Amino acid sequence: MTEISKTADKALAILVELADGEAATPQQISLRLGVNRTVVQRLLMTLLAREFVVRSRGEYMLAPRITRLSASVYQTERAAVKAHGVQLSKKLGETVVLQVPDGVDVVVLEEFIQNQRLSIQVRHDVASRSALTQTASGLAILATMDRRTAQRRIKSYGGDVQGLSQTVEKIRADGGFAQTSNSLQAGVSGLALAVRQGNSVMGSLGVLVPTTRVADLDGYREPLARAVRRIERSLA
Amino acid sequence: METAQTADYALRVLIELENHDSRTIAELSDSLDISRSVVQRMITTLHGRAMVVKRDEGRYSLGPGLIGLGSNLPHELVIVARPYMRELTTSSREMVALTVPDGDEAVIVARRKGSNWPLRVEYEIGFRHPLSLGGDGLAILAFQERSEEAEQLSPHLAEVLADVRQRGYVSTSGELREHLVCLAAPILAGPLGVVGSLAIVVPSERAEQLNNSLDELLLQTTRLGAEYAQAHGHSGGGNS
Repeated sequence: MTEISKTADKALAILVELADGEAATPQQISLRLGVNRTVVQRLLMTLLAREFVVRSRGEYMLAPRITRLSASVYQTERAAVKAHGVQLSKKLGETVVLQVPDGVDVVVLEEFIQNQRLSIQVRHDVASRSALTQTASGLAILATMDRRTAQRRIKSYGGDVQGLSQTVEKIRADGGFAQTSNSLQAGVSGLALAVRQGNSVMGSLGVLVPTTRVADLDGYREPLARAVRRIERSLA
Repeated sequence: METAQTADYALRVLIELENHDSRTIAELSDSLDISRSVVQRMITTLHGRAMVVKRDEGRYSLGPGLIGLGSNLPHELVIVARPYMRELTTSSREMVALTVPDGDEAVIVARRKGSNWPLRVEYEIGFRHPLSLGGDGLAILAFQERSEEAEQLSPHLAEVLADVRQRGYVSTSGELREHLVCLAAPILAGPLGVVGSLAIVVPSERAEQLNNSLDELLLQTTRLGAEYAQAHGHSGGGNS
């Protein structure tokens, strides 16, 4: 892929830096990002001109229109998934994620978590990316691809091509359920199922548990499948 | 001070994808009048922060890296509504609540107290209730396209909603809590449709004076709707 533009990336870094919703002076932003203050000033002017930030008494904060920008990310899909994701996570008491294909990877679009007072939960932050072969969510999507495409993808990642091909075949034979343990990270297990929208695959819905609770995943197949069916109906 | 052109290209790509979902590099290059190689670099930069996602056939959409940016910001309507809520609390001297729809629910996103009456209504921000209950919810539901679904389920609700549409406001008593009286009007933002409602909420002891505030409520919600529509690039508000 092409190289990134460092200047543009610094402007995006300012947006991320201001994401806590607090106002900051150019000097504070410059210190926190380690970017020259004159450069920060110029980038803030650029962001201001496009109404990505607002200025008040020499301080800058994200503009209200940012909420609109962030709300328009996969708007229909997120709206269709939300209620069912929340419900599934609540029912199982575990983290539920919606991942979507992103080129040769998958990326987390929604994460539904349970705030419990003290417990070990798996977290897979929104916007984290991983290879299709690395998580149950990715494998569930991989298994929906035609065999040639899937094979090509698997080869492009290298590693244990034969083992992965067998895994994908197993997922196909198992009604599309993909399950992994200690693949994303030691101690993390997941169960996922692809979500279809018409003739294509929108993404996958997965339940993530600490591997110490991996035995529970068997019991989660039916609720997961039910949630996916409901989401597919909402998307139709 | 001058702006940074390269950074501006990245922002323009984001704006273009916000307006036209799922675009190829070539399409972006054409509509933004920026060379393909520059668009490609901007896409690579945005992709590095998951602010765009690569979908099928080389098409790009806005990505989840943007979701976190908006999560700590107040609802846009809250900011636009502030001066109107101030006017309304000053004239009514009662609690004013701003409600927005979220699926089947109404959520209070801002409130402003109107006086130091010993007996007053306290509202919690984030308080949720079904759209079909309470004046603030009904004012929204009546002007939503989805209201038809709700109306088919309940003839009584259909009647109530038709009445709200005809009057342009709604008054309810004791629907959410006993002794709580609510006068609410929809915020109609032109082509955006109904975006929320403003409600004056009082204890039933002061219900009689509530009607004196009706004209002011309708005036402020109309103005707020027009300004919100304008902020979204639509001139004029009103019913449409």
